[in-house]
Amino acid sequence: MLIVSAYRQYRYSSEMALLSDSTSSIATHLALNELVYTDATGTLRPYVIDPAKLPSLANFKRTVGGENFEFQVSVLYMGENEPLGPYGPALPEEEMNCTLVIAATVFENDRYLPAKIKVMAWRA
Amino acid sequence: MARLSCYIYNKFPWERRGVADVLAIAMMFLLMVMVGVLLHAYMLTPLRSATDRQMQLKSEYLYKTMETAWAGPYSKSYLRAAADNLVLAAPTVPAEYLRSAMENTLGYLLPQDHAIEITLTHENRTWKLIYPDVGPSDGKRFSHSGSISVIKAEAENERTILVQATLTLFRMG
Repeated sequence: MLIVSAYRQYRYSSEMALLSDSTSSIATHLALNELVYTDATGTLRPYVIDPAKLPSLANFKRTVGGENFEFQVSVLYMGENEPLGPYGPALPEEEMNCTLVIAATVFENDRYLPAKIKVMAWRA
Repeated sequence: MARLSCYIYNKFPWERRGVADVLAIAMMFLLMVMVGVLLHAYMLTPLRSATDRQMQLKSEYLYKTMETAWAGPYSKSYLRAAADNLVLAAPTVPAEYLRSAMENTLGYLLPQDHAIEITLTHENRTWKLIYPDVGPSDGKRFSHSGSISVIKAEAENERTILVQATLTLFRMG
């Protein structure tokens, strides 16, 4: 029983670590590719988010390391209580999930403003 | 006495098997306990490593945000404004305003229970900000470094100066 319990805990811990890494991967992909801001000269600005791209994000499923995940994403503005979002499907009940909040810059009203991106991912 | 034990040894051979069986069972039990203890001891290692990787990611994104987001009403990023303060005699963003704006922004961006140290260096000059201003911490530190270029106007031409910047995220003690 001791070994079975320890093994179960180990599997749970490994599963959480995998989910954590996959959430980081999804957040990085969003910040550096899918939501990245393109300036007036057509240059991509990595780490700068264009919030206008968020509503047009169609697919909230990603395959990371051969495993399928779904996610929700929202942008939290400094000094504002209401976030932009969340966009994406609702979290299934009792599903193990991982939430990652990272700093980012958003381009809005012709200014580069500090903000946060919140990504919540779970197994599809 | 020796004769008696020899007699039992020869007369009742199942007694030998009994001792061997008990020893084997005891060894197996000990082995199981050790495996269980080891699994319990190491089961959190993958999760701890994953948490460390997330903290490293957070420090990288914090650095990039301070490098790209503009300081208040100015059209200069926080790190560029700090680099200006380090090398220029008359920087665009006043030093007191910059520190206050930076602390305000970091207060919003920082993960809970974490502090940050931003250091900019050029030659023998240093610009440093620790927020919140806590004492030294023995915990893990997650750093991200880069360089900021500042154009310095001199008598007849301009010179580009590279300032080294390091952002370190750490848990408050």
